[in-house]
Amino acid sequence: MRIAFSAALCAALAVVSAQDPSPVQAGTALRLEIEGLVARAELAIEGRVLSARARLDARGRIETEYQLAVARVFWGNPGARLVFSLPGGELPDGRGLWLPGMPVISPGEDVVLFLTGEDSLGCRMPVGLSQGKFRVVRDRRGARSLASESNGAELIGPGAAAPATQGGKVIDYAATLARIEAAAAARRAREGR
Amino acid sequence: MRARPVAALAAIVASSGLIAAHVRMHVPGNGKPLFWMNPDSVGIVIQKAGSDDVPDGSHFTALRNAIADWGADSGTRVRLIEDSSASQQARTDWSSNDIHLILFDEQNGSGYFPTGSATVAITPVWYSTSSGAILDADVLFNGKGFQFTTSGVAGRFDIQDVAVHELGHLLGLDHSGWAGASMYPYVSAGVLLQRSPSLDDVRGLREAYPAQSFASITGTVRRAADQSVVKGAHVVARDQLGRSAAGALADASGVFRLSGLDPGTYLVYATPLDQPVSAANLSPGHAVQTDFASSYGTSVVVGAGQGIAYGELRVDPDVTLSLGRNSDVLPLAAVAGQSAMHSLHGMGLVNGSSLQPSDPLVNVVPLAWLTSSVVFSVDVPAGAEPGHVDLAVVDPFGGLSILPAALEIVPPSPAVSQVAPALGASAGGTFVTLQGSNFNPGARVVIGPRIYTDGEPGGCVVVDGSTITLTTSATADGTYDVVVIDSTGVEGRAVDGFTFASIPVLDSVFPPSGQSTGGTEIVLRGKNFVSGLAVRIDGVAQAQVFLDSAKRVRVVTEPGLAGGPYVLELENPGGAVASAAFSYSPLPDPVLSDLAPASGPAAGGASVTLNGSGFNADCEVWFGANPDTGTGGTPAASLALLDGSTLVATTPAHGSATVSVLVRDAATGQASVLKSGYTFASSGGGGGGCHVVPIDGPRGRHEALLAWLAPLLALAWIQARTARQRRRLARA
Repeated sequence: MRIAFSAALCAALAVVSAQDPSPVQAGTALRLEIEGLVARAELAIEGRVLSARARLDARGRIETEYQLAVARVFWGNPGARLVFSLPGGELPDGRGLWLPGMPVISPGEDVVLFLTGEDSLGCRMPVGLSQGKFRVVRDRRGARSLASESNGAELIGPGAAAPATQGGKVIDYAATLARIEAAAAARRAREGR
Repeated sequence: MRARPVAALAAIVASSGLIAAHVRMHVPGNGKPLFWMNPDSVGIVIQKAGSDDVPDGSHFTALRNAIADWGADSGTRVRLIEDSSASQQARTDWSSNDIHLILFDEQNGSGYFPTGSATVAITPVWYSTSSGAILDADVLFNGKGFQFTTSGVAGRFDIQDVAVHELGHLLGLDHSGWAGASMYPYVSAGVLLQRSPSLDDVRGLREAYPAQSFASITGTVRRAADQSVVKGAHVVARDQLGRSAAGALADASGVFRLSGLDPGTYLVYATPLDQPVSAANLSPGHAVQTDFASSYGTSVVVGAGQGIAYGELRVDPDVTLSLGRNSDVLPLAAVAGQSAMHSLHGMGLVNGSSLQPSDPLVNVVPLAWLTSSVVFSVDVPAGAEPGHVDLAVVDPFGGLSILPAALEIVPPSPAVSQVAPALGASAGGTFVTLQGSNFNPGARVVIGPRIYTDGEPGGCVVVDGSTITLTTSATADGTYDVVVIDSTGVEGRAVDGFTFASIPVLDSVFPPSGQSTGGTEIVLRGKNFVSGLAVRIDGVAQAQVFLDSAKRVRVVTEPGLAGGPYVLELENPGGAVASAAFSYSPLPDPVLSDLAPASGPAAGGASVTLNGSGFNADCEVWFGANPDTGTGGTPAASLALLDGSTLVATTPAHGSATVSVLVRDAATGQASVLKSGYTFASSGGGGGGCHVVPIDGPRGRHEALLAWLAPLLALAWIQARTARQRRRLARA
């Protein structure tokens, strides 16, 4: 009986261990860990969104131009103020363009972004769609944490207490940033930079 | 039970619109749902080039299956209508408003798939911000960054599965909190279960584009503790069998509306949209609060078309417990009649908890509680109906977390063991029988670019669980997999199971016999002869085969053993064979070299000398026979054999024309033809019924002798024939 249970448990654990690192992929984007985001990004940055303005690009598509005050650079060389565009948005003439899976980026947000390079018209994409955006949130005492859009980390209310750090909706800020830094360092070493 | 340390109060953006069953995309600013103005005919075009990973063009069938999947429910009037005209399929200008294109972007021409984007596919949707009307939408696959498949190649994304999801967006549906929904935001390479829209997806379309009046349940979600409304709670209706039946997202006032319901009894519950699907998976503007625990309400009975006011659905305070993460490959497949082991991630999954399926006939046994995951076995009774089953975890403190539609009950995958015949004409019309197992009503059979749907005109017939029949449609030559796709999306496949080929038809072989030493030129007439064909006589490949047209082949025979008749086979590339008879004779073939004179009066009666070789007493001469088949024509009025190389014939009456002259050994069938061997002239050639006598030049010694002897020889031939007939009569 005991042997049978142990065997079953071993099998169970094998299932879990086999599934945990599985290359599972998202509906319209690959499912990525922090390291995967860093590996694919041309820009990995933290900053505050200053403005967002929708417009038509040269192809006749709606894109939204964001201005970001850069607070920290993990990868790339964006300068102190980054201006970048992502597809989608709404024009004053009443037309809108939405790409399901894209993150919502709003002025005033503090964010960590993982962005691809620019295409020929200067438009970027977030790496892994909404996975490429984390929102920096603060609790009542001002302690920061990261809300992962794709991990279901919704907004934290102004009266919230300390964020959960394991298995919950909010990722530990310092630990995650350390992970990003480590992944960036590993990439630099890998690419000889 | 303790309160979740973070009250994840997710008051994101106020939304005024009622969010009905399923989740629809809407205008962020005013909450108006996105919709098609003319849902009965939403045009769609499959770009011809398809994926460079699928060179056989089967992307067409995969995408057409996806299109058909969304049109299967009669409760909604939205229909994707494919424009399959060549001119439209050739277009690549997906961003034009006048075309809704499904396109594989192999070079990132769209700009949506730069290096590092990790995006598999995307559906840009243009809309009017004032009305929500969809102005344009297209589905783009990232062909540059990812590989796709229609045949289950490991590590590649199933085109149909991805397309069903993206087409849901094109129709205006947002991501769903149902793990088993096609609009569930995550899919893995190799997953097929989201090929078929779930009930939740169907409810979404019924809500957006109803074809009739359906029952609905309307209520408000409130916190039990303080009666405050819960925004964006995920409300689910479960039917009497314990199956997930409908879902809704409460609006910013906590109001939910489960619609598109069939009559029945439903248990209603609310669960936070936190994991594995969250507000981040939805389009902007949804208000989603998750600071409560999964909570059951009560059961309600709804009649056809009835609107039920549920009242308040009260939810308990949040707990440190949840089931399901986006790292889980969902839904979990549970095959009827089989056992399987699964795991799910989450939080608070500790010893002493219980794991309960909503369908009591399904047996779930936890094997290991590992705090952040649980491992369990699932047993499904044989014959269980397909559908979705919720999984609920209850921790030792009574906390509850429900993962809607976590299990997808599917029938065992179809298996195709035999396809008979395995070869059919490319023109179609071949009646084919598939033998195998686990064939269910509603199945589709895919052979090459054609889809045969059970019960549809020109489709297939699921005779029973082991037999499907169909009559093939015209299909380009080639060998194709035969795929049986169950309505749940699982499939069975006979690799290279059927070959379409031009089926040759042999109408005649002429002459039907040739000399055993070979070298006889024979003409095969029929149809569907194609380049590369082969001819065999008694199994011996013929080296000299000349394809003159799709209806005519000439063969110069190889030597063969005298005797027969042997089987002559004509085989087209692909293996289609037509057969006829051919014999080898020990005698040399008659060979007709020339005639003298070569023309004479139409009235006949002219004496003509036929020169050649291999002539014998059994030879007969015909004027005007078909040179390819030996049929037709008129026999010589009389014939005399002078020797093995000379025949003297008296021409029959014949209309003025230049005709063939045929010498045939009546005993063996060997023959020789001069195609334009003799001209019957109506006048001038002889006139008055006299045979032609050249007036210029000397008459040859041989000809003069023949002219003298011909009547005598003819008389002798008639006497000999008469004697033969008498002998036959005497024997009789």
